[in-house]
Amino acid sequence: MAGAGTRGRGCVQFALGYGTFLGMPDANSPTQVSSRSVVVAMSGGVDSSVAAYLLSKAGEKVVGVSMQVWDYKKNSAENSRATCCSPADFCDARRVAAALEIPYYVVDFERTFEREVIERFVETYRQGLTPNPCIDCNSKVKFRELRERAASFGCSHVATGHYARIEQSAQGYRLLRGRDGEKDQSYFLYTCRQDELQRTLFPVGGYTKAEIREIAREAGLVTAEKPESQDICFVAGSAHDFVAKIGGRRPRGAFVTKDGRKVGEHDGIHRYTVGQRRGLSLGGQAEPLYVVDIDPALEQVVVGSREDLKRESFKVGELHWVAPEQLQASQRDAHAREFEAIVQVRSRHRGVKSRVLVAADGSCRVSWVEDWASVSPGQAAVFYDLKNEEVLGGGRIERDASR
Amino acid sequence: MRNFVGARPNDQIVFTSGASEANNTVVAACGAAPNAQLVASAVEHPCVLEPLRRLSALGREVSLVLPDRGGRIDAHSVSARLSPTCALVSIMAANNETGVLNPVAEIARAARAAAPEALIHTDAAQLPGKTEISFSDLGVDCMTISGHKFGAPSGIGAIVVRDGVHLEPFILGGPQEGKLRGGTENVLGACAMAAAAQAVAASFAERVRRMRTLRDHFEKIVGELVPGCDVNGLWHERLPNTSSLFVPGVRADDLVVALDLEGILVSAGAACSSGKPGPSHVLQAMGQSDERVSSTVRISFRGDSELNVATRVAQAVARASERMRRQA
Repeated sequence: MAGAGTRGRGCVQFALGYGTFLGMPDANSPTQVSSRSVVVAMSGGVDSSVAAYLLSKAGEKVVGVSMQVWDYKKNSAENSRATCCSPADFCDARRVAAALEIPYYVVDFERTFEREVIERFVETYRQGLTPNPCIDCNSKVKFRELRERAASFGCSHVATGHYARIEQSAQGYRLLRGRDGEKDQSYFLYTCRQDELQRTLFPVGGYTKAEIREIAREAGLVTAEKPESQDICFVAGSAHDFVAKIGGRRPRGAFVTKDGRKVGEHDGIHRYTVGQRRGLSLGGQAEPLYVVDIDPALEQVVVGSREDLKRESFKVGELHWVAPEQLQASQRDAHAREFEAIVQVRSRHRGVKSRVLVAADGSCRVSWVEDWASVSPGQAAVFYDLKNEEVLGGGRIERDASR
Repeated sequence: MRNFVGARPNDQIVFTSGASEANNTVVAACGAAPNAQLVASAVEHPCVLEPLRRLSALGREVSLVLPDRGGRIDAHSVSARLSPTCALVSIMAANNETGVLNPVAEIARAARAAAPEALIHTDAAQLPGKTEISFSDLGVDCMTISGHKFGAPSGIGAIVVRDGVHLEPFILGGPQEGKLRGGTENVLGACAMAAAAQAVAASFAERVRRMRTLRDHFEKIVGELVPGCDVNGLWHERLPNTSSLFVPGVRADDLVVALDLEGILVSAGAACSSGKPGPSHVLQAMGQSDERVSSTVRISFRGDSELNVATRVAQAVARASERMRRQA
């Protein structure tokens, strides 16, 4: 069996880093290790493979699970393009599990995934907003249904290959950025509740990607050299074609300026994102045009200059608070509050210091001064502390009616 | 082998690669005529149903007979479907998911009377080692058996063909097996199957008694421990080892995983269905609700297990289902 011969070989990074990734001071005590069992979500990629490897090496009772979320044979015409969670990936996950000598199962999540992730993805685009399916997948599938099903298997914890860390403090659990700033995935995890953090492990969060690859190579895992998965896992072609295929395309409509002048025609609002500049096919303009608003009622895409994107602030809805202090503050009713935070508005965005204003009714606005082209309604705005380390909370950027 | 399956001296045993090839052979042999009607039960194994589906796509008339809610095929409901052009009646002897036995001899008599020209076949893959088999008493024209179901290695099975019945070969290109199946014989497999048959016969009564004790004990205990659970096909005569158990409020797939983690290997639906999750066509044909279909596991007991296995399995099912209901 591939990799089996390398079991038991020591790994320095691992031995030093393991206690820190758990983020639980008492996590390594013998009683806790022996009493809990962990379901590791294994996609067949290197990160979740190493997550399983690290847990297994640490003596945890580990159960590997690959989540069957989408029927590619049924939903995709082309099989040429490798996506995450394809049968070939499950085969890799199975080989890693066999090498680690842990039980491994493929578990069916197709119904939940279709309802909670696919439908919302399609509907969000069709409403002229820009979805973030990874966040829905984490909150509704990985850290909800997977956890429930892990519990029904008799497993207390869920682990994934996310680059993020969980730290226990006197006030509660803290969700921190992964050590590798380039790979950090805490942005996708701001919906995690305290009780979820308590029973979640991110074994790779304390490492850099390079270290994870090195651990995988040392351990002889077959996934060690697998390329990164970049795009949305369930979309094999373009997102717009996917939306049109599943949800039906929106009607053609007009490009208009903010004063209502028609400057062209577009193929449906589901194809556009606020802040987008490329691919508008509007030639002959004096300055570059951006999508500054999308109006689903009129099927209009409003275009304008970079300046036209600017506002005083943007609104954030569907809030989730993660940090213990923020949770406490949000539970005290009718207490408006205001704080400074590093606000990140896209997955690959460095985060900008801003003021966050939470009104008495719980609604939230972010005073934003930086690049407005990166603020797209539908995407998540995630608030970090001023050290840009801890996730305080986050929500969805809303389309402002005032536009 | 002839003695083992209760065949007459002149009946022929055609060795095949297994039950799937045997069933494909029988269906294909009967589907040549454009006006042929082919009749089978709706709960047959896919290796009968899929060849029939192909023939149906080619324009043959395929009639599938539904079982009662317990999964049993009634002789009258078969004969009532037969037309004068009927070429095949294929009704399995025992269902692989529920273990329910069909009255094959009675069905064969009724079918013979209604459609004298039809070939009458039974897939008896589930029988060896679990019930007495008498090919001659069943009164069918041909019968499928599978070696690995009773201890032979996989890759060997047979069609038992009544003396005087001609079955068109499926694999052409060789005179082997009395020109009924081309290809060099799997002598090793055939010998292994014969040896397995001898071994089964040697301890048959004891093993069957053990299976039945385990299964019945399991069903009694699980009935006490798990509120609302129910056995599919309970009121019919069944194989002694099989229990098709409905556990309300659980996903069968998850129960399979939970039991596997305790070292208990069961399956959701048929063993071969579990690789790719999908609802059981058997339970659906029985008219069971979606809930019942998705919450049924099949548990089979061996004839050489310790008696405490029944209690252990029942307790594990109870533990797992309680956890799952808490989640729901």
